[in-house]
Amino acid sequence: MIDKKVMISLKNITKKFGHATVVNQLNLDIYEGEMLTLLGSSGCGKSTTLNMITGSLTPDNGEIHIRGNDLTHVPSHKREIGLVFQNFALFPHMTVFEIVEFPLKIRKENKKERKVKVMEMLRLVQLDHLAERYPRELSGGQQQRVGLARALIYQPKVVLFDEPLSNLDAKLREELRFEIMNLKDKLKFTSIYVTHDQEEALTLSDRIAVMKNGVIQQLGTPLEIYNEPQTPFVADFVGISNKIVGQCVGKDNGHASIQMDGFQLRGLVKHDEIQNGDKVIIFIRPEDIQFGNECSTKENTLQGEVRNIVFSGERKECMVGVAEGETIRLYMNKQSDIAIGQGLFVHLPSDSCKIFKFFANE
Amino acid sequence: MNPITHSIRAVRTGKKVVIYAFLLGFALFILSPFAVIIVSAFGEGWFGARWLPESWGIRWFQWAFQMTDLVQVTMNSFVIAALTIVISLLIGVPTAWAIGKRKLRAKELLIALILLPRMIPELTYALGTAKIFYTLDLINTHLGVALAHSTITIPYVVLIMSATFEALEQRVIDAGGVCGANWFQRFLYLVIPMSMPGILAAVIFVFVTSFNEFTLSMMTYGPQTVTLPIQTYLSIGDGYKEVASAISVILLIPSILILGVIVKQIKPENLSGGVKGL
Repeated sequence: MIDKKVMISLKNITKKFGHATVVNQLNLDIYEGEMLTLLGSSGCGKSTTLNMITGSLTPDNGEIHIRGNDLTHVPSHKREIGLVFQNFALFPHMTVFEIVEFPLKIRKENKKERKVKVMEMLRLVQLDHLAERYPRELSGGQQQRVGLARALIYQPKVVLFDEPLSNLDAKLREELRFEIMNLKDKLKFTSIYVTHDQEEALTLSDRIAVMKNGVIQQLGTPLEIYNEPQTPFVADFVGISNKIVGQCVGKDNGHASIQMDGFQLRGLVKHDEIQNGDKVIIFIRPEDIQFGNECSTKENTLQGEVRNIVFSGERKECMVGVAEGETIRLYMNKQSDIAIGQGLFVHLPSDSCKIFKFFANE
Repeated sequence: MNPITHSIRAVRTGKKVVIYAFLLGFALFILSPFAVIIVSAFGEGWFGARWLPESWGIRWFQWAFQMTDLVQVTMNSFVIAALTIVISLLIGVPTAWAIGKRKLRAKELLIALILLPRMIPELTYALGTAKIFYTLDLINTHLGVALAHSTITIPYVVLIMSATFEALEQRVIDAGGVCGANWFQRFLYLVIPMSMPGILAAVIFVFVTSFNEFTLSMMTYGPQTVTLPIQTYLSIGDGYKEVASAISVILLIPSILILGVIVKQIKPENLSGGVKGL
């Protein structure tokens, strides 16, 4: 992005519910045309942040600017943003047509134009044949398409998504994910997408903000978030990782040697300050692990035994026991004929082993 | 036949007999007063200990119209019921909104206060009301009777509507806000249609209660505001039981019509999320 125009700007916003600080001095700029995802588990403050942008909550502190205007205390019906809800929140007494027409009706648009626009939008979300149906007569996926159409019909510059796919089953989720991407390409809106589903976040977003306890842990592109987690929380939360706990026994330019019970690994230290003797945790992704029947290099290679194999369709997931109480998860080709009980050498490339200070989850 | 299946059958038949006997008894218990009223309204020459009248006709209805100002009386009943509906909704709906949707302190106390007129003996309440109405010159006005009726119908409206509002999904109303609707538009286009089953139930309840109300009408009516129940009572007092029966048959009609509407229209599946076409 060369010409980065800030569309939404959250300035130092804080929200407390009673004594609990749900969002803590959050600063975030969202650029025009981008899709930014707030990713986190429940209670991390992502939905509260979204609700403050829509106007259903007011921040205790800080300001919300949309297109340069301070909207912190503007009621939600004057904010001109689109919102897609997790539970669809369709008007139960209206037909699909009437629901999508509603924002235009409120804006007192000409009735004929309204009809043309609504039908065009319904075609876009492939619902034109269901215009006369009521929400209760539609499937979940169709209902959320109505939700999308209602949010987009008045061409808002900003569209917010509040876990829009989490009430749908896996197949539909993926289908609608691509539909949202297509609609975004066509209509060119700026969007904030709230989800706890990291796969959704990785596939949909231009940038991801990983949140925990009301604070952004890391902000970056999906690639950065996945490959270069800056905190152990992000490393743990996004994607699947092997976690190995040990003690730092030596350091040399950016790398550290970690002693575990019965074996030693070398890994990359990037974001945490680590001293000799510190308790640390190593993250390594299953897909980065190499394996074979022979030992090619000595460093970071462990001998183990296949304990369990799970076939997941696209691949085989293999648990290899490498030491007392330590198993390593790795992925194999689905055709591979490795059997349980078989001996195996696993190599954990030192640049894929990311070392952080040990943290207790919660 | 196997003796066991035989005895099971016998028990089943026995059960059925008992159930039908109960149902029949219940129906008799509920319906026999109606039957008596209808027979005495349409029967002519029904004297002594005879089971049924000698002949049938509409003489008592003709008498009713000749002896009393029945058209005016019926009108009074409808006007008062309509006024009661308006007053009850105007006061009851906002109260119900506050109770159902807002966080209120001492909510239980407030509900108790609203229910109070229903809890104390109606006659006691009516007596006090009459006293106040004489002072305020509200006796013998439609508004006065309607106000008196409202004291007992408002609790129903508040109870029905607060439950209705409580069940409304806030997210859906919020969605209207994001779409650009201000609070008035949200109320008009979303809250009211979505609450329609509750509103309808409340209106029916208020109408029936007001239309049939006797005690409060008795204490607040005047020559210009005689209602159907009062006229029925007056006719009995005058010694014309058959005329009174004819008037009570007329009094029954709206309630029976409404019962038909309830049975046909208000189905449980319609109660969640708006009645179609309303």
